Amino acid sequence: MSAWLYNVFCEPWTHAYFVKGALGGSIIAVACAVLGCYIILRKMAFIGDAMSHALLPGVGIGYLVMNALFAGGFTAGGLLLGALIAALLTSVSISFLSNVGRIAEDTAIGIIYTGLFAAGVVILTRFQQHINIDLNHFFQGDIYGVSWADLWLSAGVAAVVLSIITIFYRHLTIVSFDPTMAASIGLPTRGIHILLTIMIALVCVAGISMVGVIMIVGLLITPAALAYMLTDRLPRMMGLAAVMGVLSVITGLYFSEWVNASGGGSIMFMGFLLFLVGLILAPRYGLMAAWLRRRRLVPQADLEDVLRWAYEGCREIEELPLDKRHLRKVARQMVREDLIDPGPLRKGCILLTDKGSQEAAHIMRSHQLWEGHLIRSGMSAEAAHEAAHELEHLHYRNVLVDFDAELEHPAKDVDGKPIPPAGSDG
Amino acid sequence: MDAATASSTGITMEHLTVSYQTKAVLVDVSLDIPRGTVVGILGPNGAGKSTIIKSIMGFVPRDYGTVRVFGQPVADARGLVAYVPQRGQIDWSFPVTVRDVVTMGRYGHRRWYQSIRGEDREKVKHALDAVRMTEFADRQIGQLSGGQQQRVFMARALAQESDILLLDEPFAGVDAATERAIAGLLAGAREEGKTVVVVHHDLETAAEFFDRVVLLNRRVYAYGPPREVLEPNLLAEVYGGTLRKMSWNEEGEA
Repeated sequence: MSAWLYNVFCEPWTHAYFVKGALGGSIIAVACAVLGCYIILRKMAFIGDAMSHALLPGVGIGYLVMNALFAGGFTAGGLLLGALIAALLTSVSISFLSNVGRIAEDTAIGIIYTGLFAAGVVILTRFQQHINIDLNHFFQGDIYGVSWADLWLSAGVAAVVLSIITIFYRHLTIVSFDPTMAASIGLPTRGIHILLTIMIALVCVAGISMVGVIMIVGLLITPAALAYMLTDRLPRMMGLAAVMGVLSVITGLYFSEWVNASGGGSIMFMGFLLFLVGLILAPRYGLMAAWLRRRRLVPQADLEDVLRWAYEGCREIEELPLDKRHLRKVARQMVREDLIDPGPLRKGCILLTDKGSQEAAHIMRSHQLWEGHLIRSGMSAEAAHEAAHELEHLHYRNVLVDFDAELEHPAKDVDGKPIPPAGSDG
Repeated sequence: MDAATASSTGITMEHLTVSYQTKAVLVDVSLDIPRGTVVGILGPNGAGKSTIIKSIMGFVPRDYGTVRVFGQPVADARGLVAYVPQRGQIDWSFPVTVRDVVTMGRYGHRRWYQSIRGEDREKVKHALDAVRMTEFADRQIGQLSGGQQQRVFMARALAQESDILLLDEPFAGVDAATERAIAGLLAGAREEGKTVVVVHHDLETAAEFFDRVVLLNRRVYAYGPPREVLEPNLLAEVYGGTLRKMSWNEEGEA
């Protein structure tokens, strides 16, 4: 058994390629996840996708130029520079195109990125013999072929991206949240957008050789989206996203070892599965939570009916004229709202808490004042009594204050029962 | 400009003309809003009310005319202005708390490399107290009622300590408590000598809140004390004679 566990979980770590893959993948996953929080909050996911594809011509030309200048040396620098230029060109041309004529932004994104990507494919295939990049690698990456140069590049990029986000956290956040206000206090919103663009290009360049272009977009968006399902605080969202990103990388690598599948694909597939689990189980914003909330939903009127019956002395659940299953649901909700005592409920008795008695008194008062008001308006006592059962649920304080004044502050209702005094908070 | 004029000059617009693509939004708008007045901008949907506010912040490309704040061109007046956006413009599921949003009001007072100080936190606290939102300080902004959300942005504007307050439909769809809170803040701002411009939709309450009222429908139909401006014939002309009372306007360009 322990040998089996060792083989499944520990053995992979004895291979340098696995360790390097895990390390490089995790570094880039953390940078992507934290940056991704801003991308999803600014609703830039499609732009991120476009940008990563549009890097191809930049990478190709950068490679060619560097190859020509230095005869094969410094290609990493050329790739980075080429990618940055391509990213900026993409960003600028998208915003230019979406501001002219009748072209909407998403159309502009679609046109620019397929156009630039096609240019990249043309360059790469035309100069095949000079460029050591193949398209398959661009799409899938090679997580098991991570070199020391890749590791250093991704570490450097991650350090730069995380530093920029730490230093400009305030500015990035306010520009994402309320760009108008940000501009009104003189922040360079355009500059900050460009800064984000540059950071996206950086993580793409560093990550593409490891996990490929589609997976890098996945690492930018999916862990951040998952974290967004789990929390309401930006710093916590960034932390959680980073954890989820690393978790996708590690589980993905294991998975690809076990089933002998593509590393990059496995990583993103695991990230996707993690997201699905989060989507279902997230405590507040998940599907399950939403389903439970709907199931617990109880009509306020039923709840108020139970309150008033209990107030009038009806204590046994059996006596209430409501469907028993529905009544139990109502009662559970009332326990959650601290209106009735959970102990006696288990024995089939309804006992109001102090809060419950106060609210019940308010409903009772509403019923009696409505009844008085309806009779004074010329309704028969019988009809008024019936109607008051419905209308008592409209118990806005100022309505009751008006009726109370109209009836000259009665102490007893039409049947001679005492009317509870108005609540202290009314 | 001599000192005496400068001290009473708030916001001045001369012949301001703005168009988006081929549609004229503001035509030859001239307004002189003295320092320390609370001005309401009234008009039907699409009258260019929000555009006036944006032009005071210098965001609107002008076809013609000038906008000056305290005698300076708007580009130099950044940071003098606090802006309260329409509720519909905010992403309420953004992961920030009430305190985070109010703290944003202090960002303009710090250089990019400076951090938020104790003094800023103190001012944020005061602003939260002033709108009675202290107990909700750590809530995410989506977990608030509409009125509370409006008060958060009022608190942010207070924390900015600007001389000019621009509010876009602050009274739209708020509860009575928030309406009182906003009215109180407007009165307080007037006492402190601030200049306040409010886009408003409710003709009935206008006289109560504002020193002066602008009746706007792309051009200025009237500008002056509410009692003179809110006159049936004028209103019929501005609202096209079809609307007796303006409908709720919660969102969209106005």
